[in-house]
Amino acid sequence: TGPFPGILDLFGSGGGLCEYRASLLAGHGFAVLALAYFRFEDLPEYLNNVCLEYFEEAVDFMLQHPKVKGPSVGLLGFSKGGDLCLSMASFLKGITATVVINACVANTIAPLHYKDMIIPNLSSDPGKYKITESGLLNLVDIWNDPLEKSNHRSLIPLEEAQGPFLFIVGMDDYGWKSEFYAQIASERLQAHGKDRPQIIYYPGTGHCIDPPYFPLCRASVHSVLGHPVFYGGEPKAHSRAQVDAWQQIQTFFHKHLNGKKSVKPSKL
Amino acid sequence: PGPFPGIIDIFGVGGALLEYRASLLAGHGFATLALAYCDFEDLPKKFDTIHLDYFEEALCYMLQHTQVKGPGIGLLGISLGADICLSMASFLKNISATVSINGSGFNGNKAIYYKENSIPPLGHDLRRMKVAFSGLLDIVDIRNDIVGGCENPCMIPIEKAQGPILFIVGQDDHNWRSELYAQIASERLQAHGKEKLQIISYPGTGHYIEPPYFPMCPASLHKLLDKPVMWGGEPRAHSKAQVDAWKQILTFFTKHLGACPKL
Repeated sequence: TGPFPGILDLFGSGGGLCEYRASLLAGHGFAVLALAYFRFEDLPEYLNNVCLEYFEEAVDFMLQHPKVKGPSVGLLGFSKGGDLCLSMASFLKGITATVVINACVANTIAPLHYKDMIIPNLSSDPGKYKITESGLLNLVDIWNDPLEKSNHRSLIPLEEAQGPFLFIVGMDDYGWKSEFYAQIASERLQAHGKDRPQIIYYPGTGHCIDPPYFPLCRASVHSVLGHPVFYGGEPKAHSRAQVDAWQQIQTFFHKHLNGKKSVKPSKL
Repeated sequence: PGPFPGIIDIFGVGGALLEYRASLLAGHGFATLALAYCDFEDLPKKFDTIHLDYFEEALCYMLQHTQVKGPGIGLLGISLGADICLSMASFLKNISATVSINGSGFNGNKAIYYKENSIPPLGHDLRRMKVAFSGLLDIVDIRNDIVGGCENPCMIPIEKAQGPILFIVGQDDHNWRSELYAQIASERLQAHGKEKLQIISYPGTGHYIEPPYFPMCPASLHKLLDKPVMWGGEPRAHSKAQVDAWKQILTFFTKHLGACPKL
């Protein structure tokens, strides 16, 4: 009957409000806020200049909510939502336990503003796109290397964050190089004398890691690009990964937000 | 806030515990119980009879729960789950609103018991099964004919239900003839002098009407037949139906259960 540990759930560059993951997580003892940040109601239509203050307001809303158990909240982010969560964890207070699914270690797609600071988005070369045999867009190579000097201002200073990180990585991710980015994150934290993040690599698993038993989305028409984009993933491996990742995510949140050791396995 | 209007959500013959619809409903101000009845934890893997006592226990649990606002609970079911909900509404008390998604209104192939009441099964004949070029089975006609229309003894006595009933129908349902069953259910209520049945019927829409934006499931392994079966539906129409049906379901429950304003 509460209060419950709070989690903010962010989806990716498709925009809108996706509540299905937050709703399912809420059935496991968490107060979850599915937070839209564009293409929804009065929010901007496109991802242009994103202000971290918007997300700070959401964190504060959670922390002062009578059903949310403080003193800090957890974050769960997928794709673009992932690097937003990393930025939130690095710059805002009141955040512990951050889980990111197939996230980039740099700010992507649109510049991020916070107070008088601007973090540019990781540069990309759209010309490096490929087309798969079936005519789908393969964008894995359009993103420039975050480790290049010219891109260093896009890297998110994860070492500033308080709480632990869990990176969920699909090794067959064709959205961007999630495996590479997780490794950069790990090395960066180590270099700054912080604990390394927990990284779980799932072979044969693509970009769209959904809750268990959701069908694998290997491609879809991207709502902003308006063209079918390929995400990768081999059905059997990816489906198994979805089941395992869900347990890992809950265990991580229970451990760091609740102080529990393990979670009774549940199907959904 | 709270307490919240309660809903029990029941899925079909596949068994296990499916929580995604109940979870989404819960985000709209309802205290929802996703109720498993088969092939889950200590529940039987298979069963030949449905005892409504089990479901009555779930209903009582909801009614006495501090976070559930009485005096009646809503029921939401799909496929066999819908028929279970219609049976609950007919035999049990304190049910304020029932939504059937592609339910049939008849007892199919189990025996349904509640205290001294029972509903005989309609039965089916697998020889009426059809096979498509793809090898998928079409079971739409395997159920036996409804002799006597709405007075057939295998029909669930929905005229005994207190609250209103909403039938969500996919016109291209290949599990059984949902549109026909909805019409017969409507005739039954009329014959017993009850209020007209609310039916929302979607063209090009198959059996598995899921929440909005869930991918359409055109076919899958049928739990009882252990073979792939087609569910019907054309992707575009079915997807549009899922979006609309969800709104209708929320509106129906809000109206008849008195939901709190959207959180």
